[in-house]
Amino acid sequence: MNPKKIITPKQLQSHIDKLPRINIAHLPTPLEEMPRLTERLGGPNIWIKREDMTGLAYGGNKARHYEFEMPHVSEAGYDVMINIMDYHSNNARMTAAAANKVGMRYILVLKNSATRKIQGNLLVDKILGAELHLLDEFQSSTAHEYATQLKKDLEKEGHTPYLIQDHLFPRIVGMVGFVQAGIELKEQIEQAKLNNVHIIGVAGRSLCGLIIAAKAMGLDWKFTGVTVNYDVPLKGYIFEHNKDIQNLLDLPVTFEEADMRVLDQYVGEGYGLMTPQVAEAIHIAAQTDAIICDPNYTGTAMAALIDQVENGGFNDNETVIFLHTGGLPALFTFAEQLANFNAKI
Amino acid sequence: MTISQKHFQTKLKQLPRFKLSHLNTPLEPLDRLQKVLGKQGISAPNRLLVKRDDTTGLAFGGNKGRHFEFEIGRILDEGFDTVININHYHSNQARFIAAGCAKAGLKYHIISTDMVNAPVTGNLLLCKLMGAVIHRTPAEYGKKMANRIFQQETEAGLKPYILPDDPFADLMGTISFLETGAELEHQIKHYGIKTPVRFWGLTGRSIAGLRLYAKNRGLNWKCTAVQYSPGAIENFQKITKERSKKVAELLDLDEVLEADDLQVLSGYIGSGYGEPDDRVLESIRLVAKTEGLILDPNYTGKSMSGLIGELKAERIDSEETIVFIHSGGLPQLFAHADKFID
Repeated sequence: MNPKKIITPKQLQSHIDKLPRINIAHLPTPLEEMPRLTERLGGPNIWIKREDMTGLAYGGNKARHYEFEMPHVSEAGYDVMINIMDYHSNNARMTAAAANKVGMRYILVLKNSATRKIQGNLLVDKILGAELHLLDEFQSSTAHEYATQLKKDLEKEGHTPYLIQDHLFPRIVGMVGFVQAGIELKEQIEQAKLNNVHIIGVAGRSLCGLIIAAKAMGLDWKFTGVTVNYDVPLKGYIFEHNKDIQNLLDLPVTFEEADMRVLDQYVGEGYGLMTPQVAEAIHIAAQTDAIICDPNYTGTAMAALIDQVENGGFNDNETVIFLHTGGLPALFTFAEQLANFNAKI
Repeated sequence: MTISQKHFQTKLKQLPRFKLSHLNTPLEPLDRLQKVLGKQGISAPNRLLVKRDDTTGLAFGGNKGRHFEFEIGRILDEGFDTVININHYHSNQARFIAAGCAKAGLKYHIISTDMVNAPVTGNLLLCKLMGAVIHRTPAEYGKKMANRIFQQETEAGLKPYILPDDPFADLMGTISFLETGAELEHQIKHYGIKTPVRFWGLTGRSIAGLRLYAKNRGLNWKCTAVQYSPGAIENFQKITKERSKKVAELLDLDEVLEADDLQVLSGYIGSGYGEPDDRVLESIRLVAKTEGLILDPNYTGKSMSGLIGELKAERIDSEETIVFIHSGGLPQLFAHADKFID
């Protein structure tokens, strides 16, 4: 670590404060202990950062992102947002809620959704009044063309649409929200007097934001990222954006691939398919500390945490912080599978 | 004579308690809802706010995250190791006890009554995940089943507790909302609200706690309770009055509740408990669209349909600031998915 590059939390905050921002999330989110899971696993102390408690339409980490993205979009004069997502997307739901908060029209193009049950995130999208375009598998392969056509039609009507997938900002804003979360977490960690911090969560933008915050403030936190999707290589998804985020916030440092230990053995058959190991992990977290995880993201990260603690993937003198990024509506998309699952515990 | 905040604090501190919730919950404006209602020609009150008790943070949140801090505290204090409860299929309470028992390491039997063939989703699914032993039965066998489980667990050497048999379980909802009252007194002051305040909730123990707090503090808070299931208003008023007496005795309060302390609205029940009508579904959609805020079809959606209905009928004093109590209940939205499909 180059000491010349270390800045204070206050300085880091001033970099974030240059961006326009609105208040959407309930912050700070709590950092709390998981005493019964810790006891059950008999390894390091386990804590949890409750990003499921941001308070926006079933909560989740993305409420932080939209504090920045909404003013970014509306101040540039756009009046409709178009988003292309998968049918069980949390992003789709939280964008809908954030758009409603500022009165922005929102069109949601959902892939692989035409024959799905209206449940989980898709149900919440509907209740939030998102203008839904549910694509079948055939249409989904050309979802971007489909959305582009929608955009053109809106332009003809005199609108100024913002197709999220055409812009860079939405791909890096998730990290900005978590640079902010990093400042928050530093204070909480100091208050709770935690040492040898090791943060585990889904390998994504949130974790990268925390890495940047830690490096900028000269903290020795370690990071483990759990892969949930084979189809999205981390390189293009997050790692290649390390300079973009550095430039946006004008920071002395950024994250590198080597800053995150990546675990990709918990994906199972693929994104959105819950493995028995994940179902078991969901039951364990619920039965020990009444922490509810979802089948796609946090359940996979929880399965990884449990397996790693049981198999020496953490040192006992570390404090493991589980990053709960939310995603709770998806539980009910998997209701039948979870109801019939016989947990061993 | 008004009772000091300190008195409430001191008295509540004397009760055993087990931390479950993240408090305080936010008090937020519903300005966009108010504006949209105004555009529809619905006269809005002075100010519309929401108390976000859906964000207590325990297993999908809700007001009962407060109640069961005292109940679980009492159960642990008295040395019980097993909890038995009887609740309806839709019950949020069933979920909170599951969460409380998980955190406290207690065994939990939930006797889930009615709708015995309805899918395991919503609250019941969460109970299952949190380790509850689920028994499903028509309501008339609930008590019998509870007694049998009690006997079996006793014979197995455990010390079981049947929740509905404990008179305290009937009081803790009101008791915990005295504390919410103190929280709200600060928050309302912080908002600089000088006009009369009306709390808007459901016929239950929480709103009674707020009114009881206000009465003992000498605050001009009014309370409206919307009925969510059929039943005579007089019965609710009578039970509420009796509960308030017991709470006042327990905590050494001066004032108790009288029948007219809570305005009760019976016009928004629809066809029954757990059966949201079109007004409820419309209210849920409207609040979601204008505020990005989710309500549930069994409780808070009904409460909101009552608020919008009363505003439409111009039965609310425009001078008042309305504080809508969002008591949670969010998992059960997913058990009503079919109602939102066009």
